[in-house]
Amino acid sequence: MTLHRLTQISLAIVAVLGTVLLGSAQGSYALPLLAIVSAAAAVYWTDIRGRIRLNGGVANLAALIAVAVSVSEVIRADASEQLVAIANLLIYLQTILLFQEKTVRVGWQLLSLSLLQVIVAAAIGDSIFFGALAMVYLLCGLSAVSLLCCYGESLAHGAPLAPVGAKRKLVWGFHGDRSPSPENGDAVRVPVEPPKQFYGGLARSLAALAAGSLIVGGLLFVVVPRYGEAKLMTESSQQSASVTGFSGQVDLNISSRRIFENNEIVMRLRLVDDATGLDFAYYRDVYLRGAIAYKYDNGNWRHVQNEEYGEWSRRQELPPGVVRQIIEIEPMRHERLFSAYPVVTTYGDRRILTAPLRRHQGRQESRMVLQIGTTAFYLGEQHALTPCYETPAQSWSDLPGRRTSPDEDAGIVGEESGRGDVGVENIAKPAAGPLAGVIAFAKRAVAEAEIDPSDRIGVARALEERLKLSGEFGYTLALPQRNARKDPIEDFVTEHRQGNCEFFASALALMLRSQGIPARIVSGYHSADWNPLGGYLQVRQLHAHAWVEAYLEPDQIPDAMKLPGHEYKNGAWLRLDPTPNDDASALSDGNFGFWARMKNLFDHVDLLWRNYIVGFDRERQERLIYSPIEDTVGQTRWGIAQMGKLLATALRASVDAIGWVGVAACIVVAWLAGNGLARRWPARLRLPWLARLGGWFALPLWRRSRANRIARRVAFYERFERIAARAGFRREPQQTPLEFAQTVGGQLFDMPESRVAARAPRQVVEAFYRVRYGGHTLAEEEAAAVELALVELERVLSWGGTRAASGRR
Amino acid sequence: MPFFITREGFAYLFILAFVLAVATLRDINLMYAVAGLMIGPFLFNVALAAAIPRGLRVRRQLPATLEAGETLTVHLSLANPRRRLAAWLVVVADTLERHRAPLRPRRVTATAWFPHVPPGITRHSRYRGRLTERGRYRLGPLRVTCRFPLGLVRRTVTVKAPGDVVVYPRLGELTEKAKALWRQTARGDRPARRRGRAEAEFHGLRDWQRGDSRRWIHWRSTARRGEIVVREFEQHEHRDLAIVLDLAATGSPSPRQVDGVERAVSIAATLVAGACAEPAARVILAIVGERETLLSGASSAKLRHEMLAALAEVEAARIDEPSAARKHAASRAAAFDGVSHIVRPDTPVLVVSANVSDGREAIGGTDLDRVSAANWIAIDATKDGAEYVVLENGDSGK
Repeated sequence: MTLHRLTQISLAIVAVLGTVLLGSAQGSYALPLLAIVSAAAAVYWTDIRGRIRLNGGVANLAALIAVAVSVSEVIRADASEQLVAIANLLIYLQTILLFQEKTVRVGWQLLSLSLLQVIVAAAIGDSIFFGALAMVYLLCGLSAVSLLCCYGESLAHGAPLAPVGAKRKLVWGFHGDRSPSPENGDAVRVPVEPPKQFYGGLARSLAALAAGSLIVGGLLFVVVPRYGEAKLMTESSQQSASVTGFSGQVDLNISSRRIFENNEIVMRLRLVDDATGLDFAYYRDVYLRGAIAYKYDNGNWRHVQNEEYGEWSRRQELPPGVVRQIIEIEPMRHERLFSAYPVVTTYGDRRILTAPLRRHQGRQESRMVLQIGTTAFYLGEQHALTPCYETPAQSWSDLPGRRTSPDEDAGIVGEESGRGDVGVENIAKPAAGPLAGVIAFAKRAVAEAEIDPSDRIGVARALEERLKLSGEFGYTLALPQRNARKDPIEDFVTEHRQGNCEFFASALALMLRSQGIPARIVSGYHSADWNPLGGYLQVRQLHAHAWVEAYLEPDQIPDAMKLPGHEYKNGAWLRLDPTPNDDASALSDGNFGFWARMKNLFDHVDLLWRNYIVGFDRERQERLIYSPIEDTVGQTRWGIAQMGKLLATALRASVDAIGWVGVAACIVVAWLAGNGLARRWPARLRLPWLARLGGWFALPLWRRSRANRIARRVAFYERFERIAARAGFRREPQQTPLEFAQTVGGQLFDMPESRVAARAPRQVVEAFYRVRYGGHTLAEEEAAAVELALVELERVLSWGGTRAASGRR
Repeated sequence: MPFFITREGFAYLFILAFVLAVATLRDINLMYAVAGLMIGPFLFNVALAAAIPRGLRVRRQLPATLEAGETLTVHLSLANPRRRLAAWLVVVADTLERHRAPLRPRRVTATAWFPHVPPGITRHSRYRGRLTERGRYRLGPLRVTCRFPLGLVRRTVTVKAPGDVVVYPRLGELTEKAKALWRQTARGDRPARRRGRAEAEFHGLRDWQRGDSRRWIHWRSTARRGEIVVREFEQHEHRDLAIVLDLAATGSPSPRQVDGVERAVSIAATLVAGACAEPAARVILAIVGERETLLSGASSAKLRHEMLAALAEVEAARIDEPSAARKHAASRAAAFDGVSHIVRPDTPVLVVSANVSDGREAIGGTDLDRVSAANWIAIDATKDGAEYVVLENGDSGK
């Protein structure tokens, strides 16, 4: 294979890869397919066979048309689609170039267009596939550029053939390094073919170059300063209605639809035991509540926004058994908090975010990383009962069947009924309602179960089991055609008993209401894949789920079901999941086998990609790169300064002992001896000899400086750490002293009684920095100020230590 | 050591700057990643292009002489004395410039390509071309350029490797009339017998030239000097021929005048070459041009080279001003006088001129008292040169 042919093929490959990258960023399969087909056709018909070869005029005309089409697309498109239109233009131009003769100039143009496509892909996508393909692209692109460079050189310095046209007298037989062009009567050149072994060496060199470029690029990537928070460009949760996923609404009116499972990662959940700080061992499936709906209206459930805060338990001290949920939520269209309930937190706890949605408002393209405490995991399983802590008016007023006062009963329920909501009153009249079949089914089910209707838990469990286990209903993602004249749930219960979790949950909720039990629909995620590599549960869109929560009055809650440390004076919500075949542990199918391991590995790599490539922002860069570098530089400077001081001290002592003349004589003798020894030794040993000599001097100095450094630390900073540790504050390994001081100071500031000492930790650490890194000796007044700060800290933390430590969790 | 960013390199840097700007302004990390991946290859290109030409040794081998129109082949060798780093895509550019070329000053660059020179290896390449104009050409310096691996930057190292090559005037063939002139002027009526080098007197040593017999090689000197040296002989018997080349032109010569000058030089060179090929001949060449030259000696390869080299570099005298014309006439008269004092009375003297000054008139106006004017033959290169010399491709000089 000639150099020219290799160059042509490599150019085609790079063109295809650029388009594939662009297509993957756009989520389009048509573009890569088009690129592959056109590149293959161009290589065969244009480069090898020479049958199709656009001349300059036709190519220019085609390019003009492509530009015109793209300009019209850009004008019509909105801001987000303009980039796509420009990307399409690059593909059009590339396709035109592919069908031209591959001169050096055309080759460079192709490479430029391909590179621009990669840049656009980087701007509009953030998938890990981009990273994987970019590696391949790097290697192929370098090969193509290098081959093109070789081809250009071989052509420029190749052997000239007879001149074409020969109108110009050839006075000089030599030619410069212009590219040959038969039109100007110049000599046509034949490229010089390099020897075969050239390609092997070139391939090795290019592989090394690609590896080196990767390293350099990686270093530059982490070192280049960031100025803001990284943006994720895709909204991974923007799914069409025909795939599984959390959508924020329950609409049962869409029938005859096939729902496809979406394997996309939504969030990752790590559970940590708050008492020990260790991973909380929980390998079963989890219900993560996302949204709650109370109002049912002819197949539609309406969600209540921000209802979560009504069920957060804020308190001064955490109850026992709190598990910290570290949740990394991928960018979503809906700003929604997903969590296992009940959620518990303290007022002063900053690590457990109390208002994550407000904090991240307006940045729905960003990932949210939340830490939320929960007591849901009790005795090895997620507890089914969630206590109510607060009673937002809307929630309670929307609850059918809740009668707390005659006013509410008369006014609100009547109003709700007037809007068509399913209340106990109108649902209790089967002949008149649209849900007569549902009510009848519920009555029959309760009757057949022979359960006391006043036993809410018994009724709820009976209805749940009837839907779930009787075999009368089937779970499917291929939704059947519903009877348009009926309510969807009425149709589901009476005619087409096939549906997804939303139908089961809706049916159960309505049946419970028909039996006088307040119930609501909860949508969120259920089940999770355990990733043993990363030690977290990974939640995908296909885990989106809907279930039911039935309200229990305080007196209806058995003591055995009550969680320790919680109050049930406002009642509780009992979780019910009527969907059949949906409670099997999803963990079991994901942990074994080669493909499962590959899947987990991929997910972990994806997490690393999103954390350290796509989400590598200023804060992360500061923490991972700059702070360690600053620490190292500070230590080095301090060490050098100490060495200088020691040398000066040693010199001074020597001068005192033997005088300047003696010192000079010693230096000369040492130098001569060293020089003589160095000359005797082989040249390759001279440097190690010098290094060894340096080591003899440096090692004691280093040891002494280290001991000195430790001694300096012990003086007051370690006392500060001891004081803090007694109060429950311990510095994390990745925390700098200043960050630790800020954390402690922040906690102190949050408590009114300790606010006066909030500045003290920072004051101590700043003094520590001056001594530790600046080689500064504290003056009397500075040392007194530090001592005062430490005493103040000790005083505050000694009596408020318990509270502060609990707030830290 | 010049270091250049190529046009492609500028385009690459422009795209890189764009990517970095967008990444910074929009906080898009993947753009940072793309920029990082773009910077790496560029830096490596800079490093490799800078390192590869450094330390390479390049040598040039030239032919000593060349005839105008012949193909010049210059052999270049590139040695890579390093222990690790191979040399890739190295281009050696050589510059050729005609020395003292007032009519058509021009410099050309010829290149040779070395795709790969592994460490410790010497590779050879060559460049070829045709030099269609006579003269002395100076070569060098050699510029060693590398753009490996991506062609985004290039670095050039200049190696002073001076060299020169003399391009003889274009040689034609002698006509029968010219050969008859030789026979006619053969001296004496001694019976013809074979004469060889053995009968000749040792004249000296010189470098080997094309056409020399291997029997003439002086092995001892060859072994000592490392290149082939041959003995040169001088014949005792003589058949003399004198050639006077009279070249004059106006300051801005027309193409016709330039062609006339070149034809005159080619005719004179052909006559000289023919005369030097004759054994036992004494050849006298007087050149009246920008400078005056008088060469004479027994026919030999060395004399041939000296005369052809002189003819290669001769330029026509400028006679725009009357004073210059008078000076040229005086020079010509002096040359005639000098020739007439050297040649025997029966030696034919061929006066070759380029039509600018009529040779016959010049001869007529000169005091030629020692030789018979009948032996003086004026050849107008533009008119009757073809009677004596046929130039290449039927170009007879007309």
